[in-house]
Amino acid sequence: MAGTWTNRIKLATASLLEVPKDTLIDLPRVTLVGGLQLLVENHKGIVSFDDQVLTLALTQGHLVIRGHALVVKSIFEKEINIEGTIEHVEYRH
Amino acid sequence: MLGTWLADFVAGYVTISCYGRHVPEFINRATQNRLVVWDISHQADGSTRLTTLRKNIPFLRRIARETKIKFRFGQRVGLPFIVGQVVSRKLFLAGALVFIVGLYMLSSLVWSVEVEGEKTVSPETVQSVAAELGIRKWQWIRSLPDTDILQLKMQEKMPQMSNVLVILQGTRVLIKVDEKVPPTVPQNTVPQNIIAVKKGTIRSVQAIKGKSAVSTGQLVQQGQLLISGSIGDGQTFVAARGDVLAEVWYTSVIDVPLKVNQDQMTGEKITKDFVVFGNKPIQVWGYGQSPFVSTTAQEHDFNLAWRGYSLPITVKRVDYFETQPVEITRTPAEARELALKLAQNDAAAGAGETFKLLEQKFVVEPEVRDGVFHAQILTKAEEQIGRAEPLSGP
Repeated sequence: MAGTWTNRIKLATASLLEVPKDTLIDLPRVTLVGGLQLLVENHKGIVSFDDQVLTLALTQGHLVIRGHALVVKSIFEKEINIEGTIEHVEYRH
Repeated sequence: MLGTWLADFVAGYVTISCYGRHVPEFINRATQNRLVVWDISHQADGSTRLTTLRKNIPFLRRIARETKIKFRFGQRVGLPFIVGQVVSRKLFLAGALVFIVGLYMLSSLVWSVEVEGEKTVSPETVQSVAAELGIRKWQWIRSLPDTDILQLKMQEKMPQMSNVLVILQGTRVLIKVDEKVPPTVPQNTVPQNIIAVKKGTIRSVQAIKGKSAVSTGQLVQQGQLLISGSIGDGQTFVAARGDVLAEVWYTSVIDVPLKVNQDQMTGEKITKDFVVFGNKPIQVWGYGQSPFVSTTAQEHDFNLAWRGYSLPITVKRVDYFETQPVEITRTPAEARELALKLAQNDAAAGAGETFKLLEQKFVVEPEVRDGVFHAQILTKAEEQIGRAEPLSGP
């Protein structure tokens, strides 16, 4: 997806204008708050879920979150808010 | 945060346990359909628990069918469920309604009429006048005319008041009155004499107005002129006033029995409590036969009142004291003292307010006959003997 002609132009524009890249194309933005709260914008849904491992689908690849007592506090189409003891955030391309 | 919770509470939300292999798929489809779910957590039994709004359930059910998920409903929170529960309990609803209607009705009644500021007029008089105008207990407040009108009418009916204020304080009607100050009564100017009401020896004459007709030490008869209203040349007449103190003698025959049977309390008592509704006493405590042969009763009433509101209920406590007949014997000396005291009371009753004891003596030496102390006592008292009598013209 990042390899398409339009996206390449978009990315080039983003670096030129020095704006965050997620604002132009569908890139996920992950915010981690002190290992307690994880906010992922532009996710593509849950792949698997239990209280220790949570796998999220992204535009490209997956995001694997490991920890204890993971709870999805809220989930919307573009945004997911995970709480619990977050130990490990892994980006899989 | 609280705002969203409140909105959720009003809409009602449900906790659902989801069983099945495709729970992530189920959640994703729900979010894609813009069905908001929250607090998704994995349970020990392998199920996934989530919370959603009540209105989302039919849609979630469809998605669950498609993803082969089974539901189990948990906690239901929110207004729609409470309302549902209440509506399904008709009697409870009726009770609530009766309560509200009752409260409303009771708060639209006059519960007490109070009078403030009265001095010589009794509050009951003011209350009865108010009752004539409709201001009485258990009256609908709404049916009362405006307080301005009530005040005017009260004022008309009670000319002795300089000002009447009718104040509605919730269920209490307060009537504030100001009594007219009566004009000072002018001194009597009709010519009059002061004459003696009884026989006595004058001890002092003080004529405030008029001319004294007697002097100290003089014996006067009943009806004798004491202070004359006729002064000067016998042509001028005034209203005579003054104090005439005289020595008056009273003779009393007193018999004091030396032996008297009297009931005396033993200190033992039983108590009975009653609740009195209006005039009907209902016993609430102290049942059973009285163990005493003879008793005397003492009653105490307690009116239940709170913040100036008195209830139409009185608690009456009756103490029954055990009594025993006791024979009291008096020595002649005690009998003598008692006889003197009784004679003094006798004289005081005859003399009136201005009574002052001067001297007491036995007319004859008292004697004890058949267990009774016989005495004849002479009591010398000082008292006012003057009385006004209108003076008929010359």
